[in-house]
Amino acid sequence: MHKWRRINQVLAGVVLVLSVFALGKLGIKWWQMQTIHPEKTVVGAPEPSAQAASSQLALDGFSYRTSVDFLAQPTLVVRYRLHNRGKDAALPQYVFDNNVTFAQQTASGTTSVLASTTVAKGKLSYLDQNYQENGAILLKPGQSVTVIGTYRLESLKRPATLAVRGTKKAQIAPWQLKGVQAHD
Amino acid sequence: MIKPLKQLLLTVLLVAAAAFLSVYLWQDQLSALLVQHNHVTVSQKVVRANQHHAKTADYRFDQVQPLSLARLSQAAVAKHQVAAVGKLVIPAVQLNLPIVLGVGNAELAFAAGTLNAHQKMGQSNYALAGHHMAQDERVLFGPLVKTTLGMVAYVTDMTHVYAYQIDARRYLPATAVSVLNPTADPELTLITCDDDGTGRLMIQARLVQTFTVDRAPQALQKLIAAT
Repeated sequence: MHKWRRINQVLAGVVLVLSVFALGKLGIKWWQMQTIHPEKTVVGAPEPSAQAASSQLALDGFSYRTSVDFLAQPTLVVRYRLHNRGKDAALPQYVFDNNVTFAQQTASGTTSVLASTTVAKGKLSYLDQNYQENGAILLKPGQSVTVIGTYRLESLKRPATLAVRGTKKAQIAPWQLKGVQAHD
Repeated sequence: MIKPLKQLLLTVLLVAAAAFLSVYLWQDQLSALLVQHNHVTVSQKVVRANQHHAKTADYRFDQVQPLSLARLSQAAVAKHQVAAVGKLVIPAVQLNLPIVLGVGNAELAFAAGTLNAHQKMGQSNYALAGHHMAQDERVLFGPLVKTTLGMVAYVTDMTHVYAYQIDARRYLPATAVSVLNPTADPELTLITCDDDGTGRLMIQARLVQTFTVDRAPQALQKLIAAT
């Protein structure tokens, strides 16, 4: 009888320790969601394998803002300018996605290459909507265009990395960016 | 007599509480282990035997439940019932998965599932669905978050290999089913669910090359043969 009580005491101790760990796990998850982690930069982001890059197409004028997409997930709104110096027409968004990647650490610590998404209705101004549509309009030789691309972020609280043809060019701190305004 | 009964009841309760807490603490690791250690066999013989099951498989994608330890355990028991018809390999992100008919919970636990009874590799829109385990992005369709445009995805029925080049990656609402419609040109569509099932990551690729398995590069042959 005494032995059995002893076993139960040990089991109760184990349950207590496990409860502390479970609470700790919950606390860490909550803390990770709430806190900004500027040190969590991407590692081992894959290089784009496309050979579409070119000296014929020049990208510049990058600027960034944030918004939310159709599922209320944080979204990076990227404005850029594309100049077609070549002899062939080009689709701006396709050219951009073939050459430029945004990556960010996931909650589990791996790297995610951000995929494009659709910004929630009413978030973009009419001008921005026009810039977004420019991404799908063929750019003729000699023409320049301003385009907006939208990419779902893993989190607003971790830095995102901009890489052009696999080479890291900039680090973006989404928590420091302004949100898009429909009445800009 | 009552005291030993009380002690026994207390022991059972404490053991149950310890088991519950342990599963909560290590559920992610246990789930990933279950997925990694349950292999669906794919061979020419298996594929030939399974091809006529295409019409009877379960294609109700809206009925797919998120992966849980309990569902994975059930799927591990029913693993021999899934009908493998090929493999999906994306070497650049270490994705190497069997393709099975249908998108039932047992099918998607350890493989990519076909979304349509009439789809054929290398023709029209070949659409596959798979789970994405947020806690371990090395398994199932998790590596898709690392893909970039231009990467090559190989689909094989163990006789022919179809090479597709990724040309679009985007998030879609779960209601955007038009991406699964037949297409004039041969395409591959890979779809993975968000955690809550309301959105999906879609990867689209176009067919760039077709060859037989024995003409594939050695490294690719090895990946196709790997379990």
